[in-house]
Amino acid sequence: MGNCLLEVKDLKTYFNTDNGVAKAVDGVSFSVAHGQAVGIVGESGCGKSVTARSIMRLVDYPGKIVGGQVLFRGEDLLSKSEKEIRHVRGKEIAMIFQDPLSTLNPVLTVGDQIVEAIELHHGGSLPADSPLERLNPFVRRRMRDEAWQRALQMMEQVGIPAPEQRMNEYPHQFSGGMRQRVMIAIALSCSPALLIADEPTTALDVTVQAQILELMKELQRKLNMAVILITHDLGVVAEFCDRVIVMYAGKVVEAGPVDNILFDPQHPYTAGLLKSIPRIEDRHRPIQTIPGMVPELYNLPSGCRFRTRCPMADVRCAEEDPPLVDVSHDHQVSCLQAIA
Amino acid sequence: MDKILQRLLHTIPVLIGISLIVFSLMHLTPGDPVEIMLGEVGYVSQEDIELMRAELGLDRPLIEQYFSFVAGILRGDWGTSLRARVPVKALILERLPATIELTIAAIVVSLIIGIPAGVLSAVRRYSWLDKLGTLVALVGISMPQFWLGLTLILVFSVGLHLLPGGVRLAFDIPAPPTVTGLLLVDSILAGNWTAFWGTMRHLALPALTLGAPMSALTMRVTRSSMLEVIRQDYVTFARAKGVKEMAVVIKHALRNALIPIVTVVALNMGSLLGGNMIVERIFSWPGLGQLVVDSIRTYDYPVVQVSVMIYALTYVAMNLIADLLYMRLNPRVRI
Repeated sequence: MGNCLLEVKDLKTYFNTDNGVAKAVDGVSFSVAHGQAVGIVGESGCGKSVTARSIMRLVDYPGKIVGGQVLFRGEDLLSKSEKEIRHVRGKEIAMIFQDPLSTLNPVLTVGDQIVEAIELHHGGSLPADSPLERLNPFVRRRMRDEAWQRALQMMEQVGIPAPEQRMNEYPHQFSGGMRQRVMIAIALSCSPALLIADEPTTALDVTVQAQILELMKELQRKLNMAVILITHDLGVVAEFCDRVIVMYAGKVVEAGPVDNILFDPQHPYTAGLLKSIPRIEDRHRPIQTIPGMVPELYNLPSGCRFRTRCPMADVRCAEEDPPLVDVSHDHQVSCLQAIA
Repeated sequence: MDKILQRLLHTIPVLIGISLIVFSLMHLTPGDPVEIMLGEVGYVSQEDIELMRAELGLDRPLIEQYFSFVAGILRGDWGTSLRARVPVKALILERLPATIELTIAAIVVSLIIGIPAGVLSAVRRYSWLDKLGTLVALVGISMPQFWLGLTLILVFSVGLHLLPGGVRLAFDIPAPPTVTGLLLVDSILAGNWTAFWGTMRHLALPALTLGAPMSALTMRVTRSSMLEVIRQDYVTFARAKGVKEMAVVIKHALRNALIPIVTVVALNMGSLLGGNMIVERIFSWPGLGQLVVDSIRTYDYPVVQVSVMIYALTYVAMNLIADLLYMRLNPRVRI
């Protein structure tokens, strides 16, 4: 795959808890091509967010990446030094989070927060001055002005009205949707090759959700940027993504092009997720749910992790750990029943 | 501006309350000041006592006395010391700078030790460094100041001859001309570096003694506030932007953590006032604390009244400063 931007190989991130080792991400593999939009879906606690944070090496104590590789442009991010990874963060791979209010720093103005990102990585267009020159107050002033101008452009680009004035305001003075736009402005200020969006619309009103998704789609096209969209909303995936990865209890259970996954799901979990979406034509029927609960990550069932809730499970499922195998072109599934 | 004005108005009832309490101090404590004053003279007749009472205004109704007391304070006429027979104002103004200098030095010491130690402890939580910090802080909080002061004198002055263990400046160093009364400031103004260095050396041990419990408190508050903040999404987001760890900690985390630190620390500055009396005594520091202790012992009410008033005002001012700093640091409550 010459077109491959990011390749995650057998990633394992474990958390040491009082109850034992929680295998939040347990052997996850997938890849993202240049400019591609990949969705990662699954219930809360399935390891989607931890996967995203592991890619950027932002897993907090007590979590620890214990194995695997994250190849970005062919280089393993997990073996880079702290300094090297800093140059990837924000510049090559940017990330936005679920709740823009808690993600923006409450004591810094919005302008300062965008400018900071631009100054850190010279915002693409700023001259890469020598360290000595950066000490020169005039040079610094000029760099600061240029960064400020670039930040203004970004504010305009993400559709924030009256950017000049709003640059000097604090996050609490913005509405939810506007805050998310600010976060996108920060993330995209250095034109990253990959954007990881961790449930970017979950905390927003439905009408605002659509606007933000549209904005992301537009900017993705404009910047030819790859996106990993983490969500539990299959509607969002249908609208936004080219490929979908379905995760369950720390593992990938199914992966494939969005149409295959939505219209021809092979894994019983994916099928269950799709059935649990309320449909207007079924409004008199109760909403279908997947029975049972997500297993606890430090106390997983043997064999297939989904078998305790699976309508198709048999004896074999308890004994064998199903491998992720191709069922059709570019469509993989990890289920013994589906393969058979 | 409105909020600041509002906050200032809030202090008015507090000030009235303080003046009432200070005023009643004189009337609620046992012992008649007039008899004590005249007792030193020897034999006094009943007329002398009455005459003295009238002179001091003690024969007038309480309410009238209260108003003339308040009016006097406001006019700057703080009465006369019963013991020294000089205006209280002169006595106090002579002592106040020494106390201010010592208190500021103690605050500086507590911030310089407390905040970095707390940040380090939080960033390296559960490490041996954190555990050591916690232990030292616990010792710092629990240690009585008189014991710490004496130990420091014993070790650094008597034992090692490194630092002086008392008074503001050695007698063989000529003091700079008095401008502010703060020796450090005065010696800078006079360009007298010998006096400056000497004052610093003399300040070291008392400031450390006075600041020790405050540093421990500051360290603990900083640690818990930082731990709270460091878990926040905006700290992770800052890292995701590629910000250096040092800048993440100082610019993104500490700035937010400072908000509760300022409040707790400024409110606890009051404990420095109590500590002053002990520390000034141990280090023969010619400050207000010593004056108050002496005045209480000799029933010198006017001096005690004004000193208590000053302590109370300081406390009110600290509260005010805490609130203003809180507003300054926290844009969410700013106007």
